Amino acid sequence: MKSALVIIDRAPYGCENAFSGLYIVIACLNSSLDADVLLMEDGVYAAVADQVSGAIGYPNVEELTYLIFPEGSVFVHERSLKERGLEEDDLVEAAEVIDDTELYEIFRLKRDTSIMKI
Amino acid sequence: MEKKILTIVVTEGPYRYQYADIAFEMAESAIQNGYDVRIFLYMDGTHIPKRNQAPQSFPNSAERLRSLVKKGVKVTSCIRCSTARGYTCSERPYINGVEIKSVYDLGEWVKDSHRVITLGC
Amino acid sequence: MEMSEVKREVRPQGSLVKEATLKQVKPCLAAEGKIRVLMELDSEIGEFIPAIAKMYPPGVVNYVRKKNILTLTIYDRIISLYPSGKISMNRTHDVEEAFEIAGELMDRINRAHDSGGGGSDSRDMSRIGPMDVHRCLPGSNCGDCGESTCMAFAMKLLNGEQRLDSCLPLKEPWMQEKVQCLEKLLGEDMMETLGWSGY
Repeated sequence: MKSALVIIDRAPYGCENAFSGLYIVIACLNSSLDADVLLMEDGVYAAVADQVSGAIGYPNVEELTYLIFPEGSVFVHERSLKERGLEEDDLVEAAEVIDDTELYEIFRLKRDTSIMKI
Repeated sequence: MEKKILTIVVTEGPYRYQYADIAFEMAESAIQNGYDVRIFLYMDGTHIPKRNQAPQSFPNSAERLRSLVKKGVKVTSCIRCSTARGYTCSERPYINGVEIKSVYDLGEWVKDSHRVITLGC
Repeated sequence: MEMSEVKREVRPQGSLVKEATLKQVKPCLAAEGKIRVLMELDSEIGEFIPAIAKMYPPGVVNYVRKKNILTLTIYDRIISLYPSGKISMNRTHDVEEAFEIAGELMDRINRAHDSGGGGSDSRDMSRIGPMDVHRCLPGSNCGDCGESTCMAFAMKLLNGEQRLDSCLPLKEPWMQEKVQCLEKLLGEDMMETLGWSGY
């Protein structure tokens, strides 16, 4: 495969998926494989800024997005954001908000991409 | 001719979800179609190869995995997930043939693979 | 090597940024030279990022204007500076190296802050092209630097692929005029960034 796209649709802290999914993107980048993450549905919560997870003893998921950008992109699905009452300003600096047209283009242009929904 | 490689990532444990069974069926079929199959166990998938499972009414997931290992399927589990769930530091936690490595190896597998399938919630 | 935060006073005399906090180190296995690091400085730096971008040759700079995020391909790695004061870098050997490089960056940031975001000694690198640099080079096409011509060297220099130290003739005493020409063109800071370590 020439690149990877990890899709995350569950919110962090309630579920391990966001944390582990971002880790897969970092692992791919470390193997010199282009990799991006797409946050959709409840997954968009992973990109919300100013997360403080110390109180529950779990690692901060927001910081993982900084280890992905700029080698990989952190795509955040706009419609999912709006449904949840969130805006781009609520998100981490590295997040790239995309609408449905851009989402379609991303998939259309990806050749030989391993798409992993975690 | 070089064999094509299929990597399957399983993120759920056995019995509560049947993603492991789906993975096994896909692996069997891929082998018959001439693929080299690799299974990466991630998050709760790291429960699948545990020894001494004894389900009453369901197929034993570790035994099914064992027969795939015998057919040449490479099975690796994520060390961070396995350790968290208590497997890494036990003596012989898993059936033979399951390696405990890391998600960084998954990165390499994805690069080498012709197809990657993820199974989980 | 999962780590808890490490805070250090890297530049005690810094005008804007003094401390850097190491927040994340990945991967969890010590792969040689491959850890990626997230650090955070003790101040926001967004105001000065455009000025800092101008302190580096255009070839190594990627500036996302919309987000005000600066990405530099320097020190053989990718480094990103965020308005919040966070810094990320990949291909790092260890924590010490991360703090060392953070210190270099903090120098530039503090300098940008001191010059009120304008940069008194720093030039607008986007206006400097290979021809300008070539005028200040020996022009002998001697090949000591590994390039076939001085023009090629000038282009690679601005791309971050060559260092001024590689031009051996420049170090000769009769080339002082050329060195002064470079200093006037680039400024002392940029000379250093472009790999001039002096005589």
